[in-house]
Amino acid sequence: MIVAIVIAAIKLLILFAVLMLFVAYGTLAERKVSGHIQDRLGPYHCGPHGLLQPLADGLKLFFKEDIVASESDKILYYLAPMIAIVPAVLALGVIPVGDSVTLFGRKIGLVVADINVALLYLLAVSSFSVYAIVFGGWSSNSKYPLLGGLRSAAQFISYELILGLSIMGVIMVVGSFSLVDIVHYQKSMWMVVYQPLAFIIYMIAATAELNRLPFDLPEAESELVGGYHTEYSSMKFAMFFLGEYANMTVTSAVAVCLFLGGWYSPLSFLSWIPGPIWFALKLMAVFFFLLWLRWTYPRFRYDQLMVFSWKYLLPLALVNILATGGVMILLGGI
Amino acid sequence: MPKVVIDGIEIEVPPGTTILNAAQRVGVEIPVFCYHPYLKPAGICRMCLVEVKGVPRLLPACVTEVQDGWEIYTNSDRVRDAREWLLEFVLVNHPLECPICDEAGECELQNFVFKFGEPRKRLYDEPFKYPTRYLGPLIVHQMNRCVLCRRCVRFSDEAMGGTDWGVYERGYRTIVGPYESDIFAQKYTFNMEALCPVGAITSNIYRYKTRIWKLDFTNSVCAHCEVGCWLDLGERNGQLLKVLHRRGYPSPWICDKGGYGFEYVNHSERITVPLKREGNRLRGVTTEEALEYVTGRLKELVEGGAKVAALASPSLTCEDYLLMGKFMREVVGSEYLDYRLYGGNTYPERSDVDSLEDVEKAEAYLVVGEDLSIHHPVLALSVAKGCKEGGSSLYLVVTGDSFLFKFATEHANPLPGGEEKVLDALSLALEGKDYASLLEETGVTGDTVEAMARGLQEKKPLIIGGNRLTPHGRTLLKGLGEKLGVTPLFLDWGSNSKGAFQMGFWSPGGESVEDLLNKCVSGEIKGLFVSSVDLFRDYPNGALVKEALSNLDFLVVHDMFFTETVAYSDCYLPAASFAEDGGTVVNMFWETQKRNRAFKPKDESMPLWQVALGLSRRWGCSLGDYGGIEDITPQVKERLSQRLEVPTTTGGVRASHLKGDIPALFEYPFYRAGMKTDFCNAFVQLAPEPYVTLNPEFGDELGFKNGDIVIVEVDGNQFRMKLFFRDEVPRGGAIVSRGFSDFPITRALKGLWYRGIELRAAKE
Amino acid sequence: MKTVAEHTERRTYTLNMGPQHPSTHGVLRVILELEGETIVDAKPVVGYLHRGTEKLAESKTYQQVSPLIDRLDYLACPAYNFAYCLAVEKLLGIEVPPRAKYIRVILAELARIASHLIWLGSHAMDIGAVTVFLYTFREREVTYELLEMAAGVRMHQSYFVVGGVRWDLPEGFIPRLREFLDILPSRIQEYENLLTKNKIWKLRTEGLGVLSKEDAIALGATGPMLRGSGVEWDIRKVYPYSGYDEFDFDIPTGKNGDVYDRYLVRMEEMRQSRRIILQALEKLPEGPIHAMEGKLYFPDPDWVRGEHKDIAALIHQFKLVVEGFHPPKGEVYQSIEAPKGELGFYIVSDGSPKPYRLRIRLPSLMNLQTLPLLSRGHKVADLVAIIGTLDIVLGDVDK
Repeated sequence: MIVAIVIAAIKLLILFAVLMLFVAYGTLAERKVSGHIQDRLGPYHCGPHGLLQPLADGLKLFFKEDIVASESDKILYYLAPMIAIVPAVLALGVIPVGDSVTLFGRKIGLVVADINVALLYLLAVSSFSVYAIVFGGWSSNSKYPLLGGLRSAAQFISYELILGLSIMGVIMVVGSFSLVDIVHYQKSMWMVVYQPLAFIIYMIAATAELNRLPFDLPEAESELVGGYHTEYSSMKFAMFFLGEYANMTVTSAVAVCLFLGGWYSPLSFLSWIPGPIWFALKLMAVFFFLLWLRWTYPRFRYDQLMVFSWKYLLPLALVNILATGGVMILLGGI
Repeated sequence: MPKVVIDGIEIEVPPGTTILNAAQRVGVEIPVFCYHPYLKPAGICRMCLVEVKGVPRLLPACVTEVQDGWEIYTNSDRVRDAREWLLEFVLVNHPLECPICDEAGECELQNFVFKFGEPRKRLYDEPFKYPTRYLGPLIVHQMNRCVLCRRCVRFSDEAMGGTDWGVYERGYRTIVGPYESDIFAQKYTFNMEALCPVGAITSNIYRYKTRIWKLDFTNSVCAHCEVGCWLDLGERNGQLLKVLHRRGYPSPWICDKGGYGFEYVNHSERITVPLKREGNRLRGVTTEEALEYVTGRLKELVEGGAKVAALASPSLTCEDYLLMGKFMREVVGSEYLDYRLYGGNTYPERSDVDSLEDVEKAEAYLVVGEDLSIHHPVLALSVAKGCKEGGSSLYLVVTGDSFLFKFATEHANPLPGGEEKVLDALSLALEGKDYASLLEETGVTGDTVEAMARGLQEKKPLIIGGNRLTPHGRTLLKGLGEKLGVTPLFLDWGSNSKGAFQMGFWSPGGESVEDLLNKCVSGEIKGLFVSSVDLFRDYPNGALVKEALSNLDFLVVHDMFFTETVAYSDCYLPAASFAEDGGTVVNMFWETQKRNRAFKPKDESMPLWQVALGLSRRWGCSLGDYGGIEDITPQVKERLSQRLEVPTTTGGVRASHLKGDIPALFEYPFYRAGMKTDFCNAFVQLAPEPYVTLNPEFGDELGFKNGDIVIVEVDGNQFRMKLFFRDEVPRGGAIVSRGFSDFPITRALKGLWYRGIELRAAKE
Repeated sequence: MKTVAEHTERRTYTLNMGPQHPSTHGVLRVILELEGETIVDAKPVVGYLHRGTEKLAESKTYQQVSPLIDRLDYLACPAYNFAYCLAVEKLLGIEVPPRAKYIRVILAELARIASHLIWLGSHAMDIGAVTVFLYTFREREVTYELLEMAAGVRMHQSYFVVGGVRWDLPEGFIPRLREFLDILPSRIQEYENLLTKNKIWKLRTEGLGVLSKEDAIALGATGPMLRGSGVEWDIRKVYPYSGYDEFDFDIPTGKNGDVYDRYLVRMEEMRQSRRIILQALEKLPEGPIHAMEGKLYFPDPDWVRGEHKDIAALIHQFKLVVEGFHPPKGEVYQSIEAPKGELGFYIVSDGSPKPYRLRIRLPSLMNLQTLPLLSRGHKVADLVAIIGTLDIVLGDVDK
């Protein structure tokens, strides 16, 4: 019992550390990728090719002056950034990064908690992250953050629904909510082949959930100055940032698990590379895609975003479910 | 009347008009170098060449008279080419000194080259390498830049009657400048500098100080003499740096005092804070304290039954006199005022001469009792012009005249003190009576007087009575004038004595300054207010002044510098110069002129009217609510429109003055006459020490040599000075210089300008 | 008792899009009356960059005014200098030599390309496509390089002087310019690939900020604002100046007058500018580059203080610096097609070396008048797109 807890704790710590590492170097990746897309170099001086830049950024943000808006609602003001990072860490608990390993005679699955309602848990936990933005926008007691917070609330709720509906198809195919099961199902063939539409809808919805361009209205730098984090500075601002990248990492991880075959290697002759490495590579690929998307497309307008989700994506997701069900019945009579 | 067409405009002009004048009438501009409106046209520079239809060569517009039916083109291609080429030639050897040349900005060569020339020349030669000659502290002569327009030479010949300045050598080696002199300061050098179109003659006082376009110019009137030439004061950052005479009134020319005599305004020794005596020292105090102190002491004296007098320089403004007079009369209750601090007991009189044009047009002149070129230099130029160009006759009865004698038809050079006797003789001669006895001891022959009397009867003369004339002399001259049907023009000291008179700044009881000073000695007047004059320098009775000032209980001096008078004072109030105070002045023709302020008075300096207002306010009886000088001017104008009666005065030259070996005239050198010239550095360099001058033959007789150091002894006072020989001194007489504030020559005088002196060689 | 309707009356709130804002293109302040996210009214407040150009010009000689004019639209300096110099030359009644004319056209069109590039970059960045900004600046860097070659300075060149251009084009200029023009079409195509057919871009810009023909003319909008609404009006064609009538080029116009149309108009204008430059390069003759050297602009420094020192040149230099040239009395108005619209200079001269009155008709200021009309009824997010399409530069709005 205690051993199980200790093992779980160690796994969690390792995963947490890796998450933080991904988050830190995710920022660097963002800047490097954006730089090269924009025909420039990105960070270059801090360490070789800018590899120590995250360290520098972290230190800088740590030492910055902490400005608190005087009219703000203090409790929520301090609470909002904390909420930003919590869902991502919570979600770590159910993401499998590899097959089980045998260590000291024990079979340890490379997942902190293999629960059978993992996906439900994930959805529940990730929908928590809207609070960060809404609280941030509201408590700052300023018009720009308010607009950002309001936009975010509406956007998040709409796309949460789509997110849930898109993974319905996967669940129907696999027949289980457990992520480990879903990954095992993709031993031979990735889910993306079975559920291409679901994958596309999931990616779009995930981008909207993450407040990434083209759906970054809550932040909307050129319109709302800073959106929900206008009034934040120093470490609290850093927390928002970290939360965003952590969410990105986790969402990419989920996408990998659900659609891209988890830790299984795509080509059989490369299966000697351990699962977690593959997982990491696929994760980085999805991450890169998210980054790439940001620097290529303009931003949606608020109402266009709503229209897009409710009038286009929702019907598509439903059609996907119907089609999946129909094909399953046709093919197997389940 | 010939009709001509200039650039398409038809005009009819009187015969004898030059093309240039005709074009000026029409408004067409023709560039000129050597032509100047106030000099006779010369046709030297060829800049004014114009094309006339039908005439093969281009004609110089400044000398060619128009003929009927001519068609004149001032801007055709030939003319433009001619101008371009001319400027190319002029520029061949011109040095590249624009960045350091003071003339830049008002240089006619620059303006013409920019307008009519090309940016590049085709002829190349080295610039001239003449040395820069500092011809004294007034002008700098740089022959490199000369364009040989000869304006300066023509001025020197036409207006000044010929000086050392001329054209020498030939061809490209031509030099325009003085032949012998190392220092060229001939009373009218300012005009030569103003005439020069390039930077060949520039002012040494203004040299390298600033650029002409950085100066703000204010219209004002010169404060040195009564002619009242209009000045443009060029001021920058509260410093008076240059003076121009652009508006040319009353005469296009101005003397050196007007043009260069302004350095005292920014002199470093000027004291601009009030001082109060404490024991042996004069301590700087605030204006408030000083005025309170003065008011307090004056009140004490007045309440104690003593009298207070006020003396002011005759060069202040009417507003000053009006308010000070009001203060003294209404507030202090004293009638002892006077402005005639240069001696004499005469009041300003009106004449039938209205302007310098009237002077120039006169057919004959009689000048008595003043070397016009020292005290009224521009008037002298006008008289000279009348003689030279108009051919008028000039009859001089002046001791030691230095300028007009060149033009004189008859020149009487009486011994010092003898002018009025000669005048008397002349009067008698006109009536045909016997006058020989009068001429004894004057050194003037009967023939001269006879010739003068005849000449005066031929043409109606303009009579000018100088500022040396005593009341007796004036009466004589008025009598003479009556006989000839002329009202003489009497000249006074200072630049606004007519204004002071009109404002009533004199004692209605008829007291002269001598009387007032005697009253100070006797103790009747215990308080004295002196403004803007050093009594020891200018009042011709140094001993009396000393006694008077020593006997006073309270002396307030309102002045700009620490003069001898200030050393006796109990309180010193800083005065504002003529550039810092506007106001109204009246010139010798009784014309009202306006001075304007160039910059605010320095530190605590105050003009006299402000002192009067301040004192009266602290006394408790305000003279009125005057915000600035413009508020006082209407009252001034009202007073000026009234015609006051001139009180009659008596007094003449007493023989007691002339007891001694040699009768001497005490006269200012040109560069020491005028206001505050002791503090004009350039003038101090030109007249550095006091001297005595003798006729060369007389000097030989006495056994002296030119340049000896002699002792002049008067009444036991011994003065050590240099001796010079000058031709204009009458034989048997001497001319001693005065007007050196650090040399107490006025001790030798007893109220008049004449004194008998004893000369002997100084032992080393 | 309040009725339900009264309780629930919708009220507007005021949002200040202040002078400090990432997307107001300078220090423009817009006071928005918002109902939720819908704009009820947008009031631009200008004057935060006012430097008193017109008043300053009254105390400077005609040549000294040029640097002031540079700083009006600091993103397209040659064009503004161009207009000013043309105005003064009209006042003087002189013609510049042909080489100077063509050099001016080349640089003015280069400035147009540069201005449109930065317009595109900032417009796209405001709407969210940040990468385009960096790409356009890559091209703009080349224009800076070219301008530095010609004038010695990247911005605020004052390269055009009254009577011609300051000095001749250096040797490497034309090859580099040709290089630039060679790659320009592919680069413009790159931007088009990213934006023109992009669904999101079209969603954000089509149907937005529609300015009808009548409104455009009534409000005095000029330049692409006017042409985007379908009015074929380009000063280069209607009142040709400096040899534009010798060139062959088209005037792109839009149909609907919305943001998308104006975007297309400006993209096409860049291509047409390139066309003009190529034609000008063909026609570029040899010859003097200044009409009256020494009389209007400083003579060659070599003649003033170099080896071939000349007193006449020194005098001209002196007089020009200290006094300046004297144009005849009169008044003149000269306008050109600046990248942002019609730029006009009205100069009143009283014969002295300093202008008596200099009045500048600024395109951005006039175009800014349309902002309230264009933005009513749209969302806050659209406001940035509309400000972007107006293509304003605050130096050009505030003088």
